[in-house]
Amino acid sequence: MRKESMQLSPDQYQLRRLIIISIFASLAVVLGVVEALIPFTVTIPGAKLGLGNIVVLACLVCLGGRDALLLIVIKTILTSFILGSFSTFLFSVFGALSSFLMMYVMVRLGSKLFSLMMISVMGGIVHNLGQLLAASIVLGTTKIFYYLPFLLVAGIATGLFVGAASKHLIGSLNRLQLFAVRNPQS
Amino acid sequence: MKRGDIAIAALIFIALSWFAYSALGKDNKHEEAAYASIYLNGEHYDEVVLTKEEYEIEISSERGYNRLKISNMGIEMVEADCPDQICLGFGHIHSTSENTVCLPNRILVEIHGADDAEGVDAIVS
Repeated sequence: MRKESMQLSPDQYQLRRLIIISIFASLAVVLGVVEALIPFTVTIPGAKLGLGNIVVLACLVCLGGRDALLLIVIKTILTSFILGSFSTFLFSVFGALSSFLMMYVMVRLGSKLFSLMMISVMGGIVHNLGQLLAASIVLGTTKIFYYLPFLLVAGIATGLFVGAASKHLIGSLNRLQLFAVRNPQS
Repeated sequence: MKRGDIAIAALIFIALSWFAYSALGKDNKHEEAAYASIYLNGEHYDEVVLTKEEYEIEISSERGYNRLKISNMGIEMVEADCPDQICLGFGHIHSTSENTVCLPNRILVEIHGADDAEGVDAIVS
């Protein structure tokens, strides 16, 4: 699997990684902006599709945890700049990081134990949970956990969608053979 | 479905059925909504009576501006200067323990019944 990357010198390999992360990051930012245009919030306040998570999950599986973390940091900061939503920046970061940590642990535990779909679903759920937790700390109340069941269902629904999309993306990326996959999905 | 998948799916199912069970139990002892507590930055800001007649209240803080409308024994956020406008999506809330949150402006509106001890001496109508 790693034959092609072995032929490259370390510098070339690093450059290739950096370029791929940049492309991923710009894709994630565009998806985040597109998502903000969808009035999905009418049905469940605070719920989002999490389109950017498609790219994050693909990066996590194909490139590994350190690159995915870099991608998340770039994505969250740039999206906040473009949308001008710095007042909720704290909540975005908290949600994104907790979601990343959950997915990272699950990917590391191996594809024998968890399917990509379930990793994505848990990522969605933990993202919502992290945001709710951050909100309850800032507002100084646990009353907003009233919305937990709704956000749980929303996390499952968006997680299934994101999981299906990233499965296709990872499949296509593998066919390109641009980079080796650490955990080939069965 | 893999081994870990089944375990997590079971956990999610248990959590969801527990939520459904407690939600059904709450409906039986439904109490009339009477007051709405407004919290700003985690501190108690105002206490309003929910009436059939419409009236509006405005909240201005260093974080932003919000306008709430009371009508039909409920309350609704009708205007906010926050960028995400999520708080308007909560709509008209009218039963106890429902709430509306505007995170950018740090505002929490919660509905409670008449027999709640909290804040009854601070009613502003």
